[in-house]
Amino acid sequence: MTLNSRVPSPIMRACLSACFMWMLCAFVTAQEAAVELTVSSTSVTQGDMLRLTLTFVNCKVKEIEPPALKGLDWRMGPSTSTSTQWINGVTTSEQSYTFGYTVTAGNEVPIPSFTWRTNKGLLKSNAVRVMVEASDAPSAKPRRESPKTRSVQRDLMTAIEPNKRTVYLGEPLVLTYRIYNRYNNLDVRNYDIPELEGFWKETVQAPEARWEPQLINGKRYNVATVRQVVAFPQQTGTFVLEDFSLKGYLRINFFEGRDVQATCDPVEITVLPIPENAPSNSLGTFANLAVQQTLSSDSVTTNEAITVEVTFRGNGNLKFLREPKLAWPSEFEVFEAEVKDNISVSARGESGRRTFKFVAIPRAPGDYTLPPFEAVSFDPLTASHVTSRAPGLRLHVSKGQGGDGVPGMTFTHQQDVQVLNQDVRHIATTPSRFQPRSRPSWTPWAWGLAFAASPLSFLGLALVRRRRAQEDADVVGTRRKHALRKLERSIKTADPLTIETIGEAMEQYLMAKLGWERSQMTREAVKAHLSAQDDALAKQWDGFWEACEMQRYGASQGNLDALAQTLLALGETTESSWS
Amino acid sequence: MVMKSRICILLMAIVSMAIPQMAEAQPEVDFQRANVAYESGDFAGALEQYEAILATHRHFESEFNAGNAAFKLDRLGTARLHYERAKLLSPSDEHLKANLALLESNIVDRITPVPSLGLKSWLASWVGPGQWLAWTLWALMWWTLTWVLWGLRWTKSNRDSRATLGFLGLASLALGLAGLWGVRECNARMETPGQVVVMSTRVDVKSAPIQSGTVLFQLHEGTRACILDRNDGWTEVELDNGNVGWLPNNAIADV
Repeated sequence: MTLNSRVPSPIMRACLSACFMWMLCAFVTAQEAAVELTVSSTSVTQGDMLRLTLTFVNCKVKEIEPPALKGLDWRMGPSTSTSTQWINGVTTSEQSYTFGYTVTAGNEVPIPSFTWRTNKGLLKSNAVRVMVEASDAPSAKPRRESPKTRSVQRDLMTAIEPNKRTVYLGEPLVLTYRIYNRYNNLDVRNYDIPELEGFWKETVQAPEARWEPQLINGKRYNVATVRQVVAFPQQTGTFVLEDFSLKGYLRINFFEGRDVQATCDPVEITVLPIPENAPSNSLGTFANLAVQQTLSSDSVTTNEAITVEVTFRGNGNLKFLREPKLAWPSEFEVFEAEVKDNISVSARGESGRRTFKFVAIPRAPGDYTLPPFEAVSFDPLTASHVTSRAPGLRLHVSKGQGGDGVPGMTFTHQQDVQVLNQDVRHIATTPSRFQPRSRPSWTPWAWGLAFAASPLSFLGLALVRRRRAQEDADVVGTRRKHALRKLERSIKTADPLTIETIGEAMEQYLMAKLGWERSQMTREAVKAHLSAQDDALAKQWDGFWEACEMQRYGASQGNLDALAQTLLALGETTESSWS
Repeated sequence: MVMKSRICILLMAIVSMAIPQMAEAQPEVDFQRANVAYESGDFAGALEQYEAILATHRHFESEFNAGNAAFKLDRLGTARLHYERAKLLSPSDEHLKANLALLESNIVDRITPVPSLGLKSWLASWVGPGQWLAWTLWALMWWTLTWVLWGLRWTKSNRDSRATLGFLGLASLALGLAGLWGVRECNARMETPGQVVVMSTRVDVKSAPIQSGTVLFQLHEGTRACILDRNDGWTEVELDNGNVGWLPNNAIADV
């Protein structure tokens, strides 16, 4: 009973229900219907994709067409979404339609208020103003087109999407490799990303590729970004990027499937040369390049190391920067620079800083100035050569303890001799002998004599040798031949000259001439022998022999010299008359 | 009377000895004058005077200086010609080597020699005209030693000593004859040119000694080539890299 007494009666339930419905309707009808227009960005760059979303709050539109907007080209949509919220008893329903537009206007796009026919009557959407910035100079001419809207027409395809179509030499270019797929059961087996010839590339580190849904030209695609590369063109000209191909397997059902392939449309990249009049010390193409140099201490002692850091900051391939040449004082001993990089590679390009750290040791005291350092580069944003300057550095070097530092240490800054010019050696000023062309360069008679001298000497020697042999064979004849010479020598060498010497010389001469022995030598025998030859000569010799005997035995005292001369004369007479 | 004739003979001998000396004095004066012109910057005048001396005399310094003057006038062919002629007279001169190296760096044609053992060039370096005196002295030394050894052989009574000296004499004679061969080769090099220098700015080297011959390659002023043959106004040459062809005589000059 008690349970039954608590049960409301049917009348009462009906009243409560009606009250609840009335309250609900009252709340619902209390919410205002509206149409809101929002854009993905109110500040865009010409060529960018702009998403325009129409949200119908608490109302429904009957028909919707992409709004025609001046300065915006419709590319895709609408993509729809609906949502319903109930907060604190308040229900809000929203129905959104998103359209994709390409910005073609140059400065700004006013999106006016539109009137929409809804189930709550005619409603007006709000107006929006979108500011458009002009794109970069080199990229402005060939407008960047949306590869999605332009080329995605097949169910499966690949695409190389550059962020720019025209770049300067060395300017970073971001290339995105994407796969567009409308299939649900695609198994990507392999894809080939072509080599970039003429470009230096850096790969952007990215998470593993995964499919993301996108509406393109009103069609739903699964899009995967497989790689992003920051490429730095190293050559000028027009490059065609293609051959990004894909091989996959499309599963139709559990038992069936087929191989599918896809390729990309060629993408043309124009690389412009850096404008002429580039300074010779230009570092290359960098955007917003700034240089800074710092000194570890502005006051040191001799032989105390200092550190000078030169830091380059900016966008571009900072890894291309080489060690800067600083104007060091000759009293500094400078070591090779250490390179420190803090460079990030992202979808926006490459940026960061590169620092060259020099360690130098001043070897002599004094006040030194490191001159300002200038970094000249080509800025593609302004299409001009820009110079960044780092102010100069001052350093005071005082004497270290114990004089100039290490005792006995001297510092001499040496450098390689720079060859400035080359020229021939100077002319020869001291002439050698002039050789007339009409005459051989040698005097034949002189050389002939020199060559003939030795064989002639040899011949003479042979003759002498032969003569000597003959003489050795004829002893008597030789004695006879040399008798007068021996006589003359005996007389001339006699000291003192005595009658015995003269007599001995006479006997020796006659023995040689006659071929006799001493035992045969008597006056009578000589006279008899000579008389048979020459009677007059025999008498002369006999007379001389007598004179000698007279002198010897004291019968006469004559002059010995005269006697010797007489002997010599007699010998000559004998030689001439008696051969 | 006898005294007078002796004095006359003596005077004639002195005069005959002085005539060559006087003849040498003139080129020496011309040489110094050419040097003065060179040092004052008149390279054309200096070159003309050096070449006048060289028309009648062989002279290393004049060839060297003429090469310098031609180089200053940017006449690389003439400079190369005089340097190569100077090289024949004194191949080992350091200044000449330096100038030739500088000249070669200015010539259009860069010729890389064919890799070889270098025997041919090594032998050629031994029998240049500049080595004539060395070869002659070498030959004279061994020739004289031959007769000395044979003369000594007579003084020896020992049979072994006589055989040894006889053999040494023969060996010495062989070396002396080799020296005489060197003298002959040097003389031949001096009398017969073995190389040419291209004097034209550019000349076509043809496959045959005729105008219609196929153009094999081109040579430029200052390039040197070896003579292989001559034929009716044409010279067959070989480059250091082994290329062979015919050049018209009016485009080259003999070293």
